Amino acid sequence: MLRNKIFTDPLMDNNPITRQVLGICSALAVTVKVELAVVMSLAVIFVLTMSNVTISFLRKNIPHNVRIIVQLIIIASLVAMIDQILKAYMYSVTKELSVFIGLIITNCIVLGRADTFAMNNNVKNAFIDGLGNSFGYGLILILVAIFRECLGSGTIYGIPIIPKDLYDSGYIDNGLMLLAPGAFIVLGLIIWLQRTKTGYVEE
Amino acid sequence: MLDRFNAIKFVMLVSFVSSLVLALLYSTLINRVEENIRLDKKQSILRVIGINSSHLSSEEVNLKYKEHINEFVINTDGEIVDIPLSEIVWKENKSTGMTDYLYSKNMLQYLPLYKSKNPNGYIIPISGKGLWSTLKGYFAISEDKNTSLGIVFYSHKETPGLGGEVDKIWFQDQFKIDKGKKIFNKNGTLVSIIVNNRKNTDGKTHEVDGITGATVTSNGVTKFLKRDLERYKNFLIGQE
Repeated sequence: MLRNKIFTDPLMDNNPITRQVLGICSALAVTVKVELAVVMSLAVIFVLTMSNVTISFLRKNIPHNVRIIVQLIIIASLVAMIDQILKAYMYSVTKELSVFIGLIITNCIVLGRADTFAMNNNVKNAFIDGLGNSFGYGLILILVAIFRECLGSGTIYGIPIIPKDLYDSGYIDNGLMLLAPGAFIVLGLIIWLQRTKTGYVEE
Repeated sequence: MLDRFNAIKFVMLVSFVSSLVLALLYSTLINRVEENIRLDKKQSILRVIGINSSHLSSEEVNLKYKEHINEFVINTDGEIVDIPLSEIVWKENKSTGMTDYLYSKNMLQYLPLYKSKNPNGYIIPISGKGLWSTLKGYFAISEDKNTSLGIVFYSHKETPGLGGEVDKIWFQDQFKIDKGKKIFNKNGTLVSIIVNNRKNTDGKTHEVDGITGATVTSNGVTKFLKRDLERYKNFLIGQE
């Protein structure tokens, strides 16, 4: 596969969230605010890229029968690292993200890429694949968060964007957008839009 | 056999290296993290009396804290004693979630107390078990030592969306002063405030609405709020 394709494929046509429908749990939970989605995306970019690189680097030495254990040790350590770093530098955001940083360990995208791609490809390609998939994840996360924060709270990244006149004439923020169903609806619409375009049908 | 031995060796090596990296990172960042936790506690104390300091820098938070809060230590009879709060060791009982406050010199029980200016009142730390974790927070009471001023939680690991709702404004607003919730009944008995999961609590002075789907967390809050208020009973009844 071409290098470019490794990066761009998971961004759009083969996006881990919209095409493979992985990592949905966190995508629903942290997309109430754009800020949370951005920080979560950064954390996943770090974990996924680093785990892909480390595992690809060790791939020839990892004994086949314990490969999942080794992969999990590496992923869990990376998650513990990013958790500690965020606690030191972005404490208030960490509090809002609560358990979801720790739950990156169980994000299927990370283990999926480690076992299917990083175990079979060289470090450079694994790095690009990690970047591509985590960017694809982040892209959808932030997109969903923009819709939810805009419609649910009338702000984007904490900045009010709905004009006051609109509120005065009777406009009300849609509280449903702040709940999990709101995320499902937005995500469903994005998937619908994408599959209409690509013509992909689930078998 | 050799295969298996190699596998074990490899896993041990990977574990060793990753724990080494983690330990290094942890020890370099621990000071910053602890500073953040201290600051967050101060912000929680300010929030419980209705002052939002989330947009302030750390120096501004410290200043605001000094301006509004005075720290005291009282003994179990409810009298203020001459011990600085920094000399008190907070020790959590892992099975009940209750925090013991021990004087570092003689390991005797004392109680921390925060007195707030504008709004005037008292703040006490509360802690106890929910469903998964120990909830830690503060409860504020106005200067009549009866009307609830507010409640906040700064640390818990309850399920987001269920027990985690204790963090949310709708839940905590029920303890605000304008709701007029009281901890003593007409006969002067300490009844605390009950988080009621079953009935409408409109107009009830000693009850607030519970959290749907989080009965254990709600009951936990009811239980440890009462228990911790009991510990301050002598202070709360005294000098009224």
